[in-house]
Amino acid sequence: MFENIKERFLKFITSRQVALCGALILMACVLVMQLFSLQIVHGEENFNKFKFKVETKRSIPATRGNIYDRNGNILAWDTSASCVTITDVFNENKNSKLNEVLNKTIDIIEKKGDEVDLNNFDISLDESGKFVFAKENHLPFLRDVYHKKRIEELYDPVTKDDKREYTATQVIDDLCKDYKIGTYLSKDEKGKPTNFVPRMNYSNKRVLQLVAIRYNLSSNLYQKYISTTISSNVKDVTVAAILENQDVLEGVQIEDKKIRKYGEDDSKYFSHLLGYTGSISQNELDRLQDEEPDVYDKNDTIGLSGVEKLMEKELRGKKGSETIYVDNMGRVIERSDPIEPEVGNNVYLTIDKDLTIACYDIIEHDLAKILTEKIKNVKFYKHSEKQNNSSDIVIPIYDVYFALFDNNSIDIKHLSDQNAKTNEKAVYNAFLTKKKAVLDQIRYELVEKKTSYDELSPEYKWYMSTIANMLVKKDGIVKGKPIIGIDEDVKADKIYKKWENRDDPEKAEKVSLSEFIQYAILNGWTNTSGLKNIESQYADSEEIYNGIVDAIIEKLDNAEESFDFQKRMYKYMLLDENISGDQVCNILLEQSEEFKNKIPEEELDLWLRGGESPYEFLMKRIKNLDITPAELALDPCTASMVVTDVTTGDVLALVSYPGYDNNKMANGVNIEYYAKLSSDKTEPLYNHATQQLTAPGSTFKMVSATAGLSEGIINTSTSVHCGGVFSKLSDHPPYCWKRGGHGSLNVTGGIRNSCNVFFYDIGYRLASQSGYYASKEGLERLKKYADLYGLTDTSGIGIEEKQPQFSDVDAVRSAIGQGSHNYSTVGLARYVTTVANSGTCYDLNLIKCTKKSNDDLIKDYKAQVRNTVDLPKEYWDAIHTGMRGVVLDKPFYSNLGVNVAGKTGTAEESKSRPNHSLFVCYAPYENPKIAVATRIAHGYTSSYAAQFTKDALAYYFGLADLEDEILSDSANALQDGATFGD
Amino acid sequence: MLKNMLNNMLNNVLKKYRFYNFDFLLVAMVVGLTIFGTIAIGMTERSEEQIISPAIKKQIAGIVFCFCVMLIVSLIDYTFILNFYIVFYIANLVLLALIFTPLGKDVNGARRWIMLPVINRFQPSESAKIILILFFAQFIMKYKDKVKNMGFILVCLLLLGIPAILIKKQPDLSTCITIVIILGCMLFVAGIDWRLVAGVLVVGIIGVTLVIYAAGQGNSMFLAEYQQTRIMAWLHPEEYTSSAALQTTNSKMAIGSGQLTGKEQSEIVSILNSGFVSESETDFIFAVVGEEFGFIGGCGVIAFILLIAIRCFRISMIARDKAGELFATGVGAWVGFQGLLNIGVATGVLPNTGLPLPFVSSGLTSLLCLYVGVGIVLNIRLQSNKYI
Repeated sequence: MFENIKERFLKFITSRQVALCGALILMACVLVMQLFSLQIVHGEENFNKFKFKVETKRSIPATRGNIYDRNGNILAWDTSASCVTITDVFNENKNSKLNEVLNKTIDIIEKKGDEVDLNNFDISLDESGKFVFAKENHLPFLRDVYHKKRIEELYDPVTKDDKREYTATQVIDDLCKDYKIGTYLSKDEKGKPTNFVPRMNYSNKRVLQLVAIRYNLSSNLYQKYISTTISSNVKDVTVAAILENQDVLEGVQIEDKKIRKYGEDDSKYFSHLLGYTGSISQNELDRLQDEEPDVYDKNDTIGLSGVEKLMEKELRGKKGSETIYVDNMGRVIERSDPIEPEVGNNVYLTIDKDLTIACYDIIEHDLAKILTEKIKNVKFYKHSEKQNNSSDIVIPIYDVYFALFDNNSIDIKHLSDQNAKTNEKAVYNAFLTKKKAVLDQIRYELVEKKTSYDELSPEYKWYMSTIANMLVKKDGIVKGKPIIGIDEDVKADKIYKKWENRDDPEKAEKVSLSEFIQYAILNGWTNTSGLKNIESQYADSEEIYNGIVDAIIEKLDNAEESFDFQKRMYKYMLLDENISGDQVCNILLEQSEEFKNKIPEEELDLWLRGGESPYEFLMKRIKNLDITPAELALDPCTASMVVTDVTTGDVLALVSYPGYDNNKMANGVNIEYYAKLSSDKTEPLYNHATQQLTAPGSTFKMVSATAGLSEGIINTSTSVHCGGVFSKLSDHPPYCWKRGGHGSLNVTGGIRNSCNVFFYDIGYRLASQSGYYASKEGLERLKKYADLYGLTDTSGIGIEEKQPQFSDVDAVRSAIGQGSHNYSTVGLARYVTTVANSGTCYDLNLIKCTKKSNDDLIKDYKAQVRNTVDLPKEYWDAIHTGMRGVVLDKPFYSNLGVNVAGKTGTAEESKSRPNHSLFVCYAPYENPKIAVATRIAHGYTSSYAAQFTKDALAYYFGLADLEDEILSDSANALQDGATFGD
Repeated sequence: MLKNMLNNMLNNVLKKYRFYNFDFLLVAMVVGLTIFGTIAIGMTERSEEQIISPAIKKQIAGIVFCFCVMLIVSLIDYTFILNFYIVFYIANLVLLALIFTPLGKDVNGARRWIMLPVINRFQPSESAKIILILFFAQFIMKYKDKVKNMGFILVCLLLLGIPAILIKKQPDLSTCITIVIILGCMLFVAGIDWRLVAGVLVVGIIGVTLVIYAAGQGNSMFLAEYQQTRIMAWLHPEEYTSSAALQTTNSKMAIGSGQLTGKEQSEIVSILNSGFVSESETDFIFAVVGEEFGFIGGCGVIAFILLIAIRCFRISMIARDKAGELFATGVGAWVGFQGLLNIGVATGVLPNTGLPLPFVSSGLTSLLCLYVGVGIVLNIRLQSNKYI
């Protein structure tokens, strides 16, 4: 029995099925051990690893506070908008897939009429479509692009490769290689694509869009699942189109985000004042993180300029946070632990919205009036210094025609477009003929004719000078070193000097550009490494010369590289009647429906049936502001005005003309708009009220008067004789503006008549306190009083403002506002405010108060008193009376309805351009409430600034209706100020 | 007359079974594992709107159908079925060949399915397993005297080689390996020479080591590039961020994150719903099991697979004849080796290769074939004359 069992057992145990069972059990044991290791031993670790993969903490941006004017009118606010964003979800073939998805997405966005935004990327396009750096100091950006810790590391001492010197195009090409934006030309034997050409088969605009988005995506890498915005604020149709194509647009999402709004039509009035918000830059982030750790991160939006920047801490609110879980595509599948963000505080400005708008409109309207007076139906105007005063400069209509090309009111690139219309095509054909003729002629001049510079026509003088500048500039003709290197030795050379002095009427000698170049070759100043056609290092000088000429012609023939050069040809085509004024006007109509629609029907009919000349047509357009002074960019085209409350030091209006649309700068920069702004000759991004410095001209004279009175050099009755010239300075004696002289004047009369000699004398005596004339001492004394009026310092408003500059030459001329004085309009406004309130110098104030989002007051802001100017009342009276006299002498102020005291000023910057026009004033004279400072850059005569100001005062004091009277066509023509002196 | 004939035939087919010989335990284990698998598949399909997705409904209907087929098959005399072994063999070749006709369907670069009316998608490589087991069970029994003969073994390998090449061309290397293992087990049980077994094992181990080593060196003449990468990814997962290695890494992470008892519903989202493991309802279903049911669930599935295989082997030991013995062995090897290999892949013990987990993975062709196989095994048990 037992044997039987034993036998059966042995048979069982040795059966082959049992062996298989054994093998399986062994395998199962291995697996259980592996499970034990994965789930029990390393279970928590695996769990956390998984959590790390899918869980991320994300901040929720706070709604930014609103900005209101002093009366509670809203100026800036947050609103929600649909944004197209992308998250990097690719592991394999990342470059090609990502580029493909981005291309498709951008195609959809643009097809639906929306725009791709440029965030946090310091390269942009210029008007010709070339890559340029968007900021002056782009080195921190390059440091980030090339992943360096410090800017110095951009230079590699071993290879001598200096990335700091790279052009924007080089940087773009490097990024394109990284991101594989471009085309492979061939395949290697293994079938792998090789021979990559960056940017090939992409337009520059598309390259920029792709590179910028890819750059931002890659800088988001260390933070998982943070999306990068492709386009903020897209239309509903775009949202629908993106969602429809979601299956092919991996990682692309529609997100609801808050965007900043500045009003549809109002934005231009307040753009400089409010500034705009945008992505934080690495530099700014570093700085702010030092200041307040843990407040900002790389994806934040902050105020970049203006009040947005000034009041950032109040406006920003407090970010919230949440934990999100995402899937492998980066899509959020769950949220938890939300901490709601806190809305930012509201900021109330001291600015009066309506007054600001009125001032801006007055400036634009009055600038147009000046232009219509100065534009004459002549071909050209030859300025002669001997005979003409700069206020006599007229604007030939041909300059207006060219200005339309020059400031890109006419889109030159569109002329060669396949959709170009009749006149566009005709003009483009004329241009092609002209271009060929010019390039042939240049070659002929350089190779054979070699005409001396002084015998060339003005047109060819311009061409030759421009070519010469390109030759000595880095990247001028070919990439890299200049063709002709200029160093100290070269500068000392006779021929170089001859060429440099070619335009100087006193020193000019006979010299031609070809002579200069050939001389440069012989002396070894040339660097020919970048030239194509020069094969050997030992090429003879003629080969080198021909190589340089070829390179010049090739460069000038390139529409993108030589955009400005080719644009200039239109000027001569106009003058040579290759294209006509009629064609120019018709192209305007062909290119812009918007422009066409502005024109009243009967006037359009009149033009279309040939009833008026292009001169008449354009004059009407300028008068009606269908073409604004800013669009023309002919002098004068910019102006600024600052209005203050003299009793409180509050700023009521701060206007810089022209403005821009800050909606297009916030929430990501619109590439085309930015290119247009940065190439605009009127520099719209620049705050002309705070960042443009000019000499104050005679508006400075109250400072000199104060200095003279306080230093005891004069008293209110001291009189000085003016004979038209100040003879105490024997070397180049300065003149009074009135050559015939004013006779004897006291300080009140000196101010009233703006007598230069009176103030020269004060300047002279301030400098002669030690018994002899010492300009420096005089300047120091004068500076003390300028400082009392706040002129040595920025005004205190807190937004971007240039440091003013007190004159450091010539005490005598400095006393009348010449010398090297340089002040901003807002600085002059503080000064005249101090004069008006008899000596309280404020740090001007822009902020009225801050309130919580529920309207609880947080803080009232008041202008701080910077210092006081302590003068006896009779001194103030003398100054005030003089200023009142200035206005009394202006007939256009006679029926205003409010008594004004002010001072005009004219400042000359260039003999060939009109003078700057300035006016500072306060009103009412008896009991000052407001002060105004106005400046028209290149505005001919101070009388214009005074009349701009008069219109603003009339509006402020409710003396005239803005639309019906001040801005109406029937309003009186501006009066040229030449007869009123200065 | 006709009635008589039919009656006779039925009598032949349906013998008088003693029903206490019906293996209810095997049925219970198989059905239990299938239901568990359905729940796991349901978890991969889970969405907020629907608790039971249409795919799950289809799966459940399929299971009910398979179950009925199993019951019917279990009552049919297996010797009757085995009689048609040559027909089956030829049918198998036809089905495999159909893949390369326009009826075949490409999925992710592999051509493994044929589209048929009514049953829609059909995977001949799955049916090939059961058919080859069937064929070889009968074939080896017929020539059982020659089992120790090398010539016979070569004939067997040749007969296996024809369908194997067709399967390899799909390409489906993993199914090839599975059928080779199954035939190996059957030949082993049939009683081939121990020395041969030892020789094959030694050569096999050295061969596999060499292939893996060569793949590790990056120059393999035996493997296609994707197979080589998979092996490389298995050897060095940290260096391979390609989807092949990520799949295994993420699967290991998913299983690991289940810890002892699996993730609570309220806990953070699951890896599978996050899409980090693809093919989670088929080849990587074990990742779901590991994540949702933890160590306990994982061990449970391993135990079930093991027990079903062992159960088949024991039935093989008491089978009435050689064919029954070999058939049960084949099914046991199929369930056991394929199941454990699949789990080995999911837990990163073995390189990534696409095998379904028997009874658990979705895929009705596979399930149907397994149930037919178990049905026949049940019949073998019914007819056994011995007690266990």
